[in-house]
Amino acid sequence: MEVRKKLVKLFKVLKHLFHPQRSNNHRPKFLHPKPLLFLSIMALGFYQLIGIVSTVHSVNGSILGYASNITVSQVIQSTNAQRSGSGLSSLSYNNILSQAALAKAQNMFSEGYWAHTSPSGKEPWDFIKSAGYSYNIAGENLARDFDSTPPMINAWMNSPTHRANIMNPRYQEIGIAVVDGLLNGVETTLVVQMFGTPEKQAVAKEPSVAVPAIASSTITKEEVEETPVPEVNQKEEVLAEAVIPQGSLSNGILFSPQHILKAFFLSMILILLAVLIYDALVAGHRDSVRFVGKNVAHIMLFLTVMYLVIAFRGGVVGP
Amino acid sequence: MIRDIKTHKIAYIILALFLFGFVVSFLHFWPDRILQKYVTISLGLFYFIWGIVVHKRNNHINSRVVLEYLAVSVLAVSLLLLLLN
Repeated sequence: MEVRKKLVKLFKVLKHLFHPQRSNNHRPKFLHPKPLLFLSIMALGFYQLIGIVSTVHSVNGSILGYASNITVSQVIQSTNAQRSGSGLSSLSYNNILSQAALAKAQNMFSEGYWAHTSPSGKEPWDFIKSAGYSYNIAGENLARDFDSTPPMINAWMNSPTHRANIMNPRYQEIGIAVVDGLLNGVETTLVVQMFGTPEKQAVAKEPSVAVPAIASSTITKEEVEETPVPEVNQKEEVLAEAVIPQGSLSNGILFSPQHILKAFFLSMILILLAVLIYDALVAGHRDSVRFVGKNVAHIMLFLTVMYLVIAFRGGVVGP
Repeated sequence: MIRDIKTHKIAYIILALFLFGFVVSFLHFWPDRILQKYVTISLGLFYFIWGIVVHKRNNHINSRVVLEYLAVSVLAVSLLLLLLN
């Protein structure tokens, strides 16, 4: 009997929440302003929770993390495909530039920043020179949080300064690092793309042309003097071995925070849409007059939001 | 529902056009998240004002309706802004 009473009570609560009737002023309680605002707070709370959980690490690794399918070879192929589409020569892979890119990525993780210049003042060409690459012209593109290569390349191509680097006819070589790690407490994938033209070849081609920086986010520098090759410490050598064109450095990550967030938001929107449609149908059937918001408009708005949540492409290029 | 659409045809056409423009601009501005955030906030503002104007014109307005549009706008904007963060 008690179970039956509880079930009846639960049914009444659900009816009050989702069915237009006298107790909720003929509008499902779920669609009243307070519950709607509560949904916003719930979304914010879930976002914060995901942020906290993604920083928690178990023995086996991160509980949440960024699952990236980006590989070095894909980035090189896609970059060269963009160049050849415009009649430019393909860039050849350079392992030393990849070592520089890897050192830059590791430095961003260790110092916790997302910029071309580190908080301690290290600039991209410092990493390139430290790796032992003597260049005449060099550049750097950065990306993070992308889960695959095509949207990342598209994002770079949509940004004028990054595009200028990819399409620069003076570059001859490329180095890539794809590294997973914790950036300011959040698991992410950093992609560092470094371009360069070895000193001798560039000088032979264009002996006295100075190349100014294209824009603040495109790091380009002319170097004409010989740069001594610095000693590379053991850690860098070991890490550099991991930067191979065929490989991705992503580890086994259970879930991506962004995917979980999207799933949560989508479920919220779907419930909301279902209640709005049900309420519109019931109200239409009853032909009652109510002073409430327009369900059709709400449905249109949330369908738009739902489409964008589904179509949302993560990732950040730059800065 | 159909009757409501027919009665407020122009208002819904304006809303549909704005939503379409919003989707196009949101996708167009990618990957510039700052611009995407501005566009998202403008969506919330527009929707809130649209709701008030449509209800005001029909004299179907009260504080509950205003609050409902505010809550719906805040929810839609919050979901997109949290995703953009």
